[in-house]
Order: sequence, then C-alpha cells, then structure tokens
Amino acid sequence: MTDLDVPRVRDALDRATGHLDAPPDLLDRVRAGGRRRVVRRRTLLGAGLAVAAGGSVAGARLLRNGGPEVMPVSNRLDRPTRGDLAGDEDYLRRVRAAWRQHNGDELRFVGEPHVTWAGRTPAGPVALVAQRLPPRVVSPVGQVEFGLTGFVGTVDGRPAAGVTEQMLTEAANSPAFLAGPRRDVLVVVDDDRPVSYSSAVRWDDQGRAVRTFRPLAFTNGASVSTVPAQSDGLSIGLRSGDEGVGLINMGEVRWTPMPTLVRTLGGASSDWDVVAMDGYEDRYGYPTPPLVREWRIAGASPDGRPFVVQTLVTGRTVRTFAFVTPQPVLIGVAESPKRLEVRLPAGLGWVVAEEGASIAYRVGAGDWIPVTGDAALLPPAATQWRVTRGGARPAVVRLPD
Amino acid sequence: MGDDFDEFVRTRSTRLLRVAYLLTGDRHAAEDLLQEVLEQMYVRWRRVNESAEAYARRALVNRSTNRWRRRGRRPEAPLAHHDVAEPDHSDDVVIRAAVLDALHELPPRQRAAVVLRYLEDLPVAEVARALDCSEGVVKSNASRGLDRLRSALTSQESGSMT
Repeated sequence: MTDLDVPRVRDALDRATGHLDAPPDLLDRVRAGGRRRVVRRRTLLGAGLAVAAGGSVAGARLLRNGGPEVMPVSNRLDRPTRGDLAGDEDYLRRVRAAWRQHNGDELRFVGEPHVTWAGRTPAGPVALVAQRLPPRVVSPVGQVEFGLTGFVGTVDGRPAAGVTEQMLTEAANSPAFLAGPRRDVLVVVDDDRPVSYSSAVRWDDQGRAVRTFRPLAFTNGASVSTVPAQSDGLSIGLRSGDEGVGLINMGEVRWTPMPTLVRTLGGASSDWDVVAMDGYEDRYGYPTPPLVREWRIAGASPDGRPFVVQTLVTGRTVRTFAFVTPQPVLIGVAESPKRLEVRLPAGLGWVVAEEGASIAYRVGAGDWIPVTGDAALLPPAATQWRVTRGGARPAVVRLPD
Repeated sequence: MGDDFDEFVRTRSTRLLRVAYLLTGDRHAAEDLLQEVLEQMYVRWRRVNESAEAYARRALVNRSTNRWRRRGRRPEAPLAHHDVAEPDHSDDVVIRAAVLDALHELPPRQRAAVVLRYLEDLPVAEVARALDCSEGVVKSNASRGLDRLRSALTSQESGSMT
C-alpha cells in the first residue's frame, strides 16, 4: 500500500456509504428508547447494589495505572463447585473443554475456567462457568471488567456453551438460564439473594403490569424447575425483592427488532409517555422486542388540545393508551390488531392508523375525504374510514356510534 | 438533557450511521446499533456530553464486536449480501459491494481500525483510544486492512474493464 492508495480507499469508503442518511424519526426513537432505559437502568443498578451488599461481587479500588489495587472477588470464581454433578470430574472436564472451544483464543484469560455449579436437569446436565480476565476499566463510571461467565447446557448429548457475560465490578451477572430446545427448564443459581418466579404477566384495568410470584427453593446451589415453553417469546418473570433478576439467554429467544412507528399529526406535540410512568412496563419480565410494531402518534386537535396515542407490545399482545391529559387512559388490550382505531377522550375525535396505508374518511353518506399519511386524526363526526394498501381493494371500517 | 443532546443526534447521526454500516455490513443492523448507542448516551448524557463523538465511536466499535461475542459465536450476517442487491447499476453500488466484501474478510477490530482511520479520518492516537489498544496495533491493523481493500478495489476495477 502506498500513500497514493490512501485517497483512493477513502473515496471508496465514502462512496460505499454515501447512500446512507440517518432515518428522520431516529431522534424520536432514541428519546423513547432512552426513557425506557432510564426505567430499566434504575432496576439493574438496584439489583447490582443488592448483590454487592451480599458479597457476590466486590468493587475494586484502582491505581493510577488503571490496574486494580485489590483483585475483584466473586462467588462465581472463588467458591467450590456446587450442584449434584460437582464431583463428576469427567463431566466437569467436558464442560471446561466446551467453554474453551466456545471462547476460542481471542480473549486473554487468566487461569483455568471455574465451574461454579453443575447439576442434572430435565434438559440434561447444565453448568455455570466463570473465568478470570486481566482486570481493566471498561466503563465511563469506572467499572472494572475481571472475567467472563456463562452457562453450559446440553445440546445433542454434549456440553455446549451459549451466551456469555462480562463480569464487572458494581454489577450483577445473570443467575438464570433457560435450558432445553423448548427453553422450558429454568435454572437459577443461588447468588445469595432470594428469588421469586412468575409464569406470566397480566394487565389490570388501567393497563398496568401485574404478576403473581412464588419463591424459588434453592437446593445445593440452584433451583431447577420446569416452566411453560419460552422458545417463541418470554412470559416468565423473576424478582428479588423489588428488583428484576437477569436471564442470561433471553436474547436467544426470537429477537427481531421492530422500530416504533412514530407519527406527528399537526400542531405542537406532547411528550406524554406511558413507558416513563411507573407500573406500565413489565419490570420483572424480560423485554423481548415486540413481534408487532409499536405506535406513537402525537399531535394536537384543530383547537390546539394535545393528544398522544401509544401502543405497548408484549409478544403479540398490544395495549393501546390515549393521553389528552398527563394521565393515560387504557383504550384496550388485543392480540396483533391489524390497524389502530382510537376514540380520543374529551371528544377530540378519532385517531386511526395502518402502517403504509392510504386513509380516507367520511361523515354519513358524504364524499370520501383523503388524508395525508398512514395515520390521521379524524373529526368526532366521522362515521367511516377507508384503508387502501398497495393495489388491494379498499377496506371500509365503520366507526362505532 | 435537552437541546444539546437533540442537536448532537441531528448533526452527527448520519456520519455515525455510516461508521456503523461499515462495522456491521447491514443497513438495518447499523441503524439498530446506532440507536442502541444513542439510547445509552441519552441515559449518560451528563457524563459523556463533553466527548460525545468519541464516546459514540467507541461504543459503536465495542458493541459491534460485543454483539458477536454475546451471541455466542453465531456467524455474523454475511456482510456483502444485504445492501448490494438494489436495483441500481451505478459504480457506487459496485464499489460498495467490493468494500463490504473486503471488510467482511477482516477481523472485527482490524475492520474498525480501517473504518475509523480512513472513513472518519481520525488520527492514529484517537483510533487507538477508541479501540483501547496501542498506536502500533492501530497502524498494523489499518495497514493490513488497507492492503485488503486495495486488492479488492483493484480486482473490481479489473473486472469492470473486461
């Protein structure tokens, strides 16, 4: 490569990316996602502190060169192996081999992998493994990475490692793992805090998340239980006190990003948002991405009154909310509704939407009046709306009296 | 939190999206990656706003390589086979395919070194900070990556002349 080649490569990189522009709704999506993270982060930080108080993960003071003054300690690394397979040296050897094969030689580990727990389950033997990494500061708030940890399940009769997590000071690693091809065996390793289990979430009459929990019993270092199959979506929830509990392989369940459909309908819009309010998120469940796209439609009525219509999707269940004041109103809960149709409180009219469709409406037997875009605020007097997608025949929807 | 964050997203997102695209090789994955990073920055804005762009670049690189790690060594999406099949026969599309193919062949951190050094035009020292490695490693990675890109572009030019 000569210096003369560099401008040519720069030009090629520019031309390879010149067709890209940030999506126009990126800022809205980021702000909505950021607000969700604020809520979740509070939960996770709380969980991390609880574990640190229990002695599972110790913090480390740092020297000026960035190295730790005290080597971080962890129950995952420093306790003897527990579980009914703790004495099965052949199994432990195969677990360590699977761990090494999974992690390859890219990471510079320190010492040997340690099996924290190993036991029999209805989905075959399962083990929890941890291994030290050279400590280094990895986060803007000074957390130190000091290891890698993960579960080793059984696939085709052999130990197979899956998702791994960094071990960080002032943070908790996920103690829970779903094993088996149907993800129907829940293993929760005892990390010195009580954990309760819930099989599913339901919604109260205001659309808030409600779960019923039962405590898990730990035996010889872990709780192993059969749960409803979680392979197509996660319904289970775990809590410790008021905090959520990490499930290490939640990302192995179907994970297709579905960006929120954000629309602004004239006038100044409000930032009312149920996600930022207590109780509406399923804080003890696992936030799998929605299988149906969420809507957020904000705008103002012709006389200037703001409104927001928002859907929250859990799996295929869609909760629809409307705001005309800071207090949300639950409009309904439905499975994968094809289109959005909301009568706004206070007589503001109807918000209707169908992704990518053309919309028109009429009052009584009057002419059809087209609107711009795939979401619209219709006047209170509207009696029907019409949806047209591509070359398909229009669908006419009657609005309730 | 407020106007300065919004301004950062409005003015820097396209540039950062292009970095993410070359790191992931897929437009949708790049948009998801960028959104994740910006959401992370939203939460930490008071801490990161003074070096927001450097923080964003570093987070893009870390997340693009950690994704691969977290997914338990599942094969990455085939870099060159997503955005090249548009109904467009312009030179840029051909170059894009060659660039993505060549980047796909590079290890993730070598790929990141090339992207930051030659798309973002960052000094070696700043790339080293973003990748958390020495300047020597950056030079070595960037040089190897450039060799691969040069070969790919030369092959593409030879092919287009026949």
